[in-house]
Amino acid sequence: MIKDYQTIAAISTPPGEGGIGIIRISGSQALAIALKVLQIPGLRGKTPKVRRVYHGYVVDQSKKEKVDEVIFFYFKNPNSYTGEDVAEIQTHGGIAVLRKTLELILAAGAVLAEAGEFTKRAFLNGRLDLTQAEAVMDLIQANSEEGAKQAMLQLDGALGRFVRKTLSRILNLIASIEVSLDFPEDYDPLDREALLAVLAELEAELRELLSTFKQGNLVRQGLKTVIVGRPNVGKSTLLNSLLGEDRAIVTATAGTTRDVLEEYYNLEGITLRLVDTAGLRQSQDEIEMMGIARTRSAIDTADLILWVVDAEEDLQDEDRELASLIKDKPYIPVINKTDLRHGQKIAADLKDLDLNREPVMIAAAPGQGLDDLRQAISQLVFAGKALAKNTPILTKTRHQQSVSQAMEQIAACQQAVAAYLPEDCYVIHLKDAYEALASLVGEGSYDEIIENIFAQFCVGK
Amino acid sequence: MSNNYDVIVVGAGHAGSEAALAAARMGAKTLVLTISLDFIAQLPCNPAMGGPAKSHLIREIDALGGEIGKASDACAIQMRKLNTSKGPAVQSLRAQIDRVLYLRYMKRVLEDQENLDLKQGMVEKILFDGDEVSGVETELGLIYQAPKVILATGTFLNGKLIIGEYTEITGPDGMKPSLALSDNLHELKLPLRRFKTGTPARVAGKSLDFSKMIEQKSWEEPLRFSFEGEYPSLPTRSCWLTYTSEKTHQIIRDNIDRAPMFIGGIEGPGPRYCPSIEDKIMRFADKERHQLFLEPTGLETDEYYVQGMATSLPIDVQMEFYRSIPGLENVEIMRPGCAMEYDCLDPTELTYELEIKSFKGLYSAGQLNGTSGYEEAAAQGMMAGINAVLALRDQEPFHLTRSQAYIGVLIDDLITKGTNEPYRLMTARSEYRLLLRQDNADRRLTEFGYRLGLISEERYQRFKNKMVIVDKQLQRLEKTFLPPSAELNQALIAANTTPLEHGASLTSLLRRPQLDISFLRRFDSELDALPLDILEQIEIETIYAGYIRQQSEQVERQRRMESALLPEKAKYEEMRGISREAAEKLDKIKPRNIGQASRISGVSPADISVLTIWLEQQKRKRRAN
Repeated sequence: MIKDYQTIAAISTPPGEGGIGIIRISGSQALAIALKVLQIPGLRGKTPKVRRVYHGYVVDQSKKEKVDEVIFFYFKNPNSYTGEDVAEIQTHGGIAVLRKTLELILAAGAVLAEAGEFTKRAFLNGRLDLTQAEAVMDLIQANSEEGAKQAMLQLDGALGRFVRKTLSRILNLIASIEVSLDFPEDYDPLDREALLAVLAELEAELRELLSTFKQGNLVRQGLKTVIVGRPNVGKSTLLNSLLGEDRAIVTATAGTTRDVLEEYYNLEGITLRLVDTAGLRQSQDEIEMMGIARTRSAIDTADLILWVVDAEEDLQDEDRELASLIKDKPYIPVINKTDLRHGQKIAADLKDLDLNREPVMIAAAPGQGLDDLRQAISQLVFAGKALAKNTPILTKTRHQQSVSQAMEQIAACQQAVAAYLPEDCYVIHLKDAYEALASLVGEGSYDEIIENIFAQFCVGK
Repeated sequence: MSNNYDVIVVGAGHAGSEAALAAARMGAKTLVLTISLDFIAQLPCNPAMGGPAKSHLIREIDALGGEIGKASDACAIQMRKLNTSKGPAVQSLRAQIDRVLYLRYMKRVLEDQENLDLKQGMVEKILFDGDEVSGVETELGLIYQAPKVILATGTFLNGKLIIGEYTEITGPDGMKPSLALSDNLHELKLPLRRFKTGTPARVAGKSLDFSKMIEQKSWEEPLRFSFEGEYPSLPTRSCWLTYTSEKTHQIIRDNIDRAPMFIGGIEGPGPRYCPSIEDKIMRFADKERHQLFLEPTGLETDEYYVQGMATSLPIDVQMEFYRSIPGLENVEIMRPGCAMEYDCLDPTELTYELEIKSFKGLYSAGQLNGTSGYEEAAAQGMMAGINAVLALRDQEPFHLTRSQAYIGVLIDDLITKGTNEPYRLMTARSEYRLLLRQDNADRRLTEFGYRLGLISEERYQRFKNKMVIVDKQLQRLEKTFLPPSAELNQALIAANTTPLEHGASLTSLLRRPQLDISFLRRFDSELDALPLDILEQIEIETIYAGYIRQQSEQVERQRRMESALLPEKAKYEEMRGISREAAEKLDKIKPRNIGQASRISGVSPADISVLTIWLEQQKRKRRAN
C-alpha cells in the first residue's frame, strides 16, 4: 500500500524497557488524531498552541480508561522535522503503554509508518538537502529488503499459515461474488445465509487472533522468566547453558552477578525473557543490595521462575525464604550440579517442604538435563493455556493493525449483507479486508482476484 | 481528387468505425480503408452487445459522442437488464442485435459523415518519413498520405481458421486475410504474437425444438443504451436456454484427441472467460452440465447462434455433440464452429493515446491490441481517433483515468500490465466500481465529449439541465421532511419498516433498505413528476452516498500520485535504489506518472518511494541550475 498523503505514526524511540517513549505522528491529520487519544486538562477545549508543551493523559475512550500520563506538543508545517504537521507524545510507562498508545493512534486514523518514511517525507518536503537524497533511497530499499526477509521468517510459522488460509478464503468469496456480477447469465448470486455464515466464521477467527495480541503482552515481550537461587548455585551457568553462549559474567566468587541480566530464548515458538538475578543473600555490600532489591521486584513481576539449588549442599534458610517468596508463582525447582553429587538429599529436603512440584535434575556446566528442563518449562507454559504450539499469535503492532482492519471490514460486510445492500457493496469490504491481510504477508495483489475468477469458474460466452 | 488526408483508418470494424467517426466529427479529413465494403462493423461472433462492463463501455462511448450505443439501440431485437438486484454499479443492459441491420446502419453512418471517405482497399504497407508515419499503400499500389494512421485490423492479420485438422488462411466469415500488412509490421520490428478466439456453430431455427428450452424474452420496459436518440423499435425475438447432457460430455471426451488444442493445431492462447466447450469440459470435469443459449441473429434470417458452445472440433464431432443437447436433437448446422488465430501487438508497446511508442503518428486499436469484444474495440477506436486529431493539432492528449471511466481502466490495464490472452473488460477490473456506473456515464463524460466537439450544443444543454435537476433534487431531499401522517405510517408498516414519530427527511427514508424511490414518489409530488433516468441517479447517489464518498477519497489520493509526472527519458536502469526487476519493467513500460508506475507488476512500494525521491531530487537539481 502506498502511504503517501496519509497521516503516519510510529514509535520513534528504540525498543527497550523503561524510560521515556516517544510516538510521532506526521501528516495533515496529525493534530486531530493526537487529540482523539489525549485528554489535556490545560486546554479546556481550545486548540493547543504550536511548540508549547502540554501535560495530559492518553485515554482509551472505548474503556474510559487512562492509559498513561504523557507530555504532548506539536509542530505546524512546514516547520517540523518532516515538513508536515507533526504531533509528538511522550509516554513514561514502558513498552506496553507505548504500544497501547500507538494502537489507539492507529485506531484513530493514522497508518503505521514504513521504515524510513519520516525521513522520506522530510526530504520530499525540503527539510533535508539534496546530498541526503541518495542516502534516503538506499535506506528505503535496504529496509524493504530487510522487511521482506523478516516477513519470510514470520510467514513460515503458524501465523503465516493462518493468514494465507484466511486470504484464500476471502479471495474465494470475492471471486464467487464477482463471477456472479460479471457473468450473471452463468452464475447465480451467492446464497445470503451461506455468505453470512462464512463471514461470521471469518470474523470470529480474526477476533480470536486479535485477542492473542491483547492478552498476549506476555508473549509479545517474552515470558519474563526469572532465575533465582542463593549465590553461586549456578544461575548464570544455567542461563549460559540455555543460551549456549557466555552472556553473564560467571566466576566462582559468590555475588558476581550484580545486575539483572536479560536474554531472550526461544522455546518452541514462545519467547522466554530470561532474567538472571543477583543471588538472594543478606549482604552489606551496597551495590549488591541494589541487586537483591531488584531480585525481589523481579520475582514480583515474573511470569515464570526457575529456582536453582545446589546438589552439593543441603537446603538452607535462604532457600526456604526464597521458596516462600515464590510459592504463589509458576515456578520450577531446579537441582544443579548433579554431575558432582547425585542430589538425592536435597531432593528429599525439597519434598519435605511440600512444594508439590517435581524438581528437575541438571548439571548446567556440562549441559546435562537441559532437555528435561526445557520440557518442564514447556509443560508449565503451555499446559492450561490457549497458546498451543500451532496457534497463531500476533506479536507485532503492524500485524495487529492489519488484522484489526481486516476484521472491521469483514464485520462491515456482514452488516451490508444484513442490511440487504447489493452484492457489489460486499466486495468493497472484502477487497479491503483482503488487502489489509495481504499487506501483512507482503503478497497478494488485485490481479489475483481476476486470476482466481478464471481458475475457479467456468465462464463462457 | 487528392489522396491526402489528416487521418487514415485501416479497417472498418468496431474500432475502425468509431476511430474514423471521432476523427471526422472533430473536423479531420479522414479516410477509412476496408477489405470489404459489405462488412462494415460486422459482428462475426455473438449477435449481442452489452452485459456487465461492456454495457458500461457503450454508455461511456455514447456520452463522448460515439456511435455504438445508437447503432445498438437501432438494431436491437431484444433488450434486457442484467444484475438488477445486485447493485447499481453492476447493473447493465444486454441487447440481441440484428447483424445485417447493424452493418447496414454503420455503413450508412460512415457514408453520410462529413469529412469522411469510405473506400474498399487492402492496406499492405505503412509508409514513413523517417520515424514518422506518412501514409499507406494498398494492394493495387495506391498511395494515400496522412500524418496519422490508425491500425484497426481486428483478426485479419495472418488470420487462420481452424476446424479439427482443417485449416485455412482467411479473414473472419470468409473475408480475405491481411497477409502483406502482417509482414510489413514484422519488418518494422513490431513484436507480433498469436492470439486465438473461437465461435460456436450457427444452426437452423427450424431444426430446433424450443419446447424443450426455457424462453428468455425481451423486457417490456423501454430500455436503451444511448443517452439520446430513440428507444429500440424493432420487433423483438427471444433467446432460448438449454443445457448440455452427460452424452454431450462423453462425445467430447471421446474425441478430445482430435481437438486442435490437443493435437497442436493452435499456437496462441485463447481467452479463459470464453473457453471452447471442449476446454470447459476438460478443465471443469466435475461440472455436470453447461448452459447454452440459442440466440437469434436477425429478423430476416433463421440462423441461431449457439452461445456457450464455441468449438473447433472436427465437423463430424460437432454434428454429433450438438445433437446430444435437449432441444437440438435434430439440429442442422448452417455454419460450423471454428477457432480463429491471428497476429496482434503487445499493448505495452503503446502509449496512453494508443500510439505505438516507436513510431510517431501510428496508432493501434481494437483486437490488434490483444483485446476481445466489440465494445472494447469501439472504446479504443474512439480514443485513438480523438488523440490522433489532437496530436495533429498539437493539442493536449485526451486521457481518461481509472476513476473516470472503464475506458480508462481498459487502456491503463493494456498499456501498463499488458495481457497474455485476449483481454476482456469486467467490472471486477475496476477499483472504483461504484463511481463508474452506467447510469452516470453521461455525468462523467459528456463534458469531455462536448469540449472535443463530439457532442452537439443541443445535447449538451439537455445534459446540463438534467444535472442541475439531479443536484437540486439531492439537496432538496435532505431538507424536505415528511410529517408522520397516518397514511405514511400505514405505508411504512406495510413495507415492513418502523413508522415515524417525528418528521423524517426524504433522504433518510430513501436510505431505509425496505424503501425505494417509487415509495417516496407516492408522498412527494415533485419526485413524482421526474423522468425515470433522473430518479435512478437520485436514488443511487442517495443510497450509496457512504460508499461513493469512500471511493471518492481513494480517488483523490490516487489522483495525487497520477499528477506526479515521470519524464519520458528517465533511465531507470541507472537509478539508485530501484530493484533490478522494477527497473527493467519501468524502462519497458515508461510510465507517465507515479500512479501508473505503481500498477506495474514487479514494482514495489519501496521502488515507488525511491522514484518519488528521485523526482524531487531532479526537481531540485533543475532549480539549482
